[in-house]
Amino acid sequence: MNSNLNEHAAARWLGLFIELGQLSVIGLFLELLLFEGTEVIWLIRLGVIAALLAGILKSQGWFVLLALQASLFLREPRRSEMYFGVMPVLFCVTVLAIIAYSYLGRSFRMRLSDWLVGQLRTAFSGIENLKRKAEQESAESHWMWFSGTRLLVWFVLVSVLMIVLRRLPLTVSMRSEWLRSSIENDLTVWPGASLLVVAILLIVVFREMAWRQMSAAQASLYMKSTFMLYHYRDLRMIVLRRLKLKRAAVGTSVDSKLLVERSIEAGARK
Amino acid sequence: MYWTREIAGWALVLFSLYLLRTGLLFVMDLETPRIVESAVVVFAGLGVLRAGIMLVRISTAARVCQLDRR
Repeated sequence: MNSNLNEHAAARWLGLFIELGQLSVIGLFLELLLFEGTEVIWLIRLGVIAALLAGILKSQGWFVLLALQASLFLREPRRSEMYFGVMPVLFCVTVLAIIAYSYLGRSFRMRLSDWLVGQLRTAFSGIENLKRKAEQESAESHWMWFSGTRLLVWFVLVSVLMIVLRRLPLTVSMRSEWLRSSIENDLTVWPGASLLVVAILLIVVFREMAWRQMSAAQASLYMKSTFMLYHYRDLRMIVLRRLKLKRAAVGTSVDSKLLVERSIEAGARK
Repeated sequence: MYWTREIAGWALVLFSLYLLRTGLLFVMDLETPRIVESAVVVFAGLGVLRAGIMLVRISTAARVCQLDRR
């Protein structure tokens, strides 16, 4: 029981730590996007980034969007010529990713943290479990294949991280190099149209993929509601006409009844 | 029949994306940006996109209903 509680607490702390790590990475990217090559003092930088991270925590993506727009407005150099290179695409992709991240909200952050916690758990405890299983089942080849794949994945991850860290402007010389290339490349948003179209296509495709997971009852309900939505006026007209006819029929029957009663009364008087 | 509708829906989605891209390129033309034309094309593109998605969804839902009845 106690071990379960300890495990739960450890997973919670690890999740919190990973969430903080996510926010730190986003903060680093925001610092690069907003203040790279500027003379703003670090206190203001930290304040702005803290405010933006608070906005992201509250899922207020417009906050980040506004800051990026202001930064572009104040810092964008004159568009002397377009540069069709990798840097503008990287810039746009980073900005879109940060805005998407800030809009996805807390649930996405927690899901990502859970996934990373799961990965770390399997990475550290999976090898022992697999060893035990391999001893029990005497299936050495499975374990070899699994651990080989895992090693390969880790190798690829570490290589990518090393390349990214070498690219990121962490030192002064790298920062000046980054700034120089940014000015040369002229950070304009030339691939904006294509990126937006691809983003819309991806959103449509993923939403339709999710749509196909519905049950028969949901599909039936959707068909009925769509039918009602598009034929509402016709159906309303038909129902109103039927109601009018019904009322008219009831009215004539009441009139004829009254006529019969009156004639009976008149006969009785005579 | 449902497959025809689905294919038509996806074709409409692709056409709408082409329209949206055209509209955006109108604005991005730095020498002669055509804002009004772009707005018209983007508006039309959004309408076509909505119609395409609706066709795809209706055909999918109808196929699911039919499979359930069988």
